[in-house]
Amino acid sequence: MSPAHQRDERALVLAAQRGEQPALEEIVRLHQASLWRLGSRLLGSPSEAQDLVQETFVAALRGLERFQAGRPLRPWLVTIATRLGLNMLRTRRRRPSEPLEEDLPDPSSGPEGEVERRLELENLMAAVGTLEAVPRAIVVLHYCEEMSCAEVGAVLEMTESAVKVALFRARERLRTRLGGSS
Amino acid sequence: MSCESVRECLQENLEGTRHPLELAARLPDWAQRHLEGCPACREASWQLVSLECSLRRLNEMSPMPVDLTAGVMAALQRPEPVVAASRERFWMRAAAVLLVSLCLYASTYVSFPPLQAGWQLVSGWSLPRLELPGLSESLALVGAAVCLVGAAALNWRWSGAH
Amino acid sequence: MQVLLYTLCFGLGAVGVASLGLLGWVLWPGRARAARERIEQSRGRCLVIGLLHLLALLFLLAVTDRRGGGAGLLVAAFLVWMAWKLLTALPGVLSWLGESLGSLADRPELDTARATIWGAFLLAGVGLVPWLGWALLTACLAATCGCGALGGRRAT
Repeated sequence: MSPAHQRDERALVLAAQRGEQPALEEIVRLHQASLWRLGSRLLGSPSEAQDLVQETFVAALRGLERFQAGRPLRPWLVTIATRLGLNMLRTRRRRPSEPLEEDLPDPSSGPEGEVERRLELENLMAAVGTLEAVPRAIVVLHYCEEMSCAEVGAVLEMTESAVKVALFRARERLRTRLGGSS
Repeated sequence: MSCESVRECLQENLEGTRHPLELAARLPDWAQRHLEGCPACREASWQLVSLECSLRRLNEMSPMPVDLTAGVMAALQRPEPVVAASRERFWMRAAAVLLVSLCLYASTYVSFPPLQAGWQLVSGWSLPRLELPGLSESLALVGAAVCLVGAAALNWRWSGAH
Repeated sequence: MQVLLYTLCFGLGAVGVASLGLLGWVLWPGRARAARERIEQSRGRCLVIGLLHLLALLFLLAVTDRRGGGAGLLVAAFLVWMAWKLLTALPGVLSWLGESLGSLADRPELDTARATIWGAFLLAGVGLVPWLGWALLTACLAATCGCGALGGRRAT
């Protein structure tokens, strides 16, 4: 993050902490797309991802006075979203997840390569969806949010080595699942 | 060298690559030699590279179906049900446990025949008594209370009910 | 003779614990899964909560028959509650133990049932070793109990 961006974000957070409506709206506008991507990868359902984004912002903005302005906002939001997402996964009673509508291949649009890429992503998402909640969150945070194992550990309150072991196992599971199906 | 250690080596080296296809070049000699002679591990390494390529595309942005700003702002105006409910639930539970304990304890002193008959039935059945030398009754009760309150407080803090 | 006795203890213990674990996965899969995640994420916390409960139980058992029926009933209720927490968290903890053992033995791809059985055998084996093994077994059971007691949802 550039120093100028950091200054802007600090000013934005301070304004939001004062309760200024435009600042609150700006925070939502800036981060909703990436949180939605995280939610849809973690939960495998666009509608649940929307609920997750909304819950995350409500929890974060309500607790904004506890947030130290000047620290990056995104990791904090990701932490809240991940923990809420894990709660949603735990309370979900093995309900079959809806397909990711925006990721479904549409044969009429785009070249063949694009359709193939979308199908591949959908297969991958289906395989990720078979992982247990915590390994799934680890995979999503590591690849979707590009976090290191130490950063993932900080979000999930796990040691770096525990994250590495879980990631190793998750990759092996995905490899055997995708290798067997292809 | 076992297949398992080669698979571990594959994953460790995959972490540091800029592109998964660079994996083969990064492997140490012993792992490369093993791959040449082991078709199963070779297959696994191809699968792993292909998987890694796909996983690294998970960060691709897809368009959001709707703008959630208005929804979030509306939800912010509503009162906080979840936090209040969980805090309330904790104190309700604590109060219920305390009340039931007090009632049970007090009922042992009430001279109401059916209740006394019930207690007689219960007192016929006994739990093993533990002899802890040098521990008075009040100290043991205080110890038990401290442990239970401590466990409840830690549980409350760690389980995020606050 | 003693070897035979030890083998019998180990076998019966392992089969009993494994059956409890497998039954738990069938009856309360949600609780078992939650327990495994909890023990994976916070072993220390589970151990601390479990040890505090065990200590409280010891103190309570030291005063039971000096306090008449009411206190006895309370202790019994506490015991039943602890047993319930232990029973529902046991499957998750066993499968975690089994998976850890599996990865040590170069078998990271154990399914849940096998991992639970491996975990049960590990627990029964540890119980055969005097002192250190018993201490480990107590710690394991305390962590399991703490894992069950450490409930609630994760908050922000």
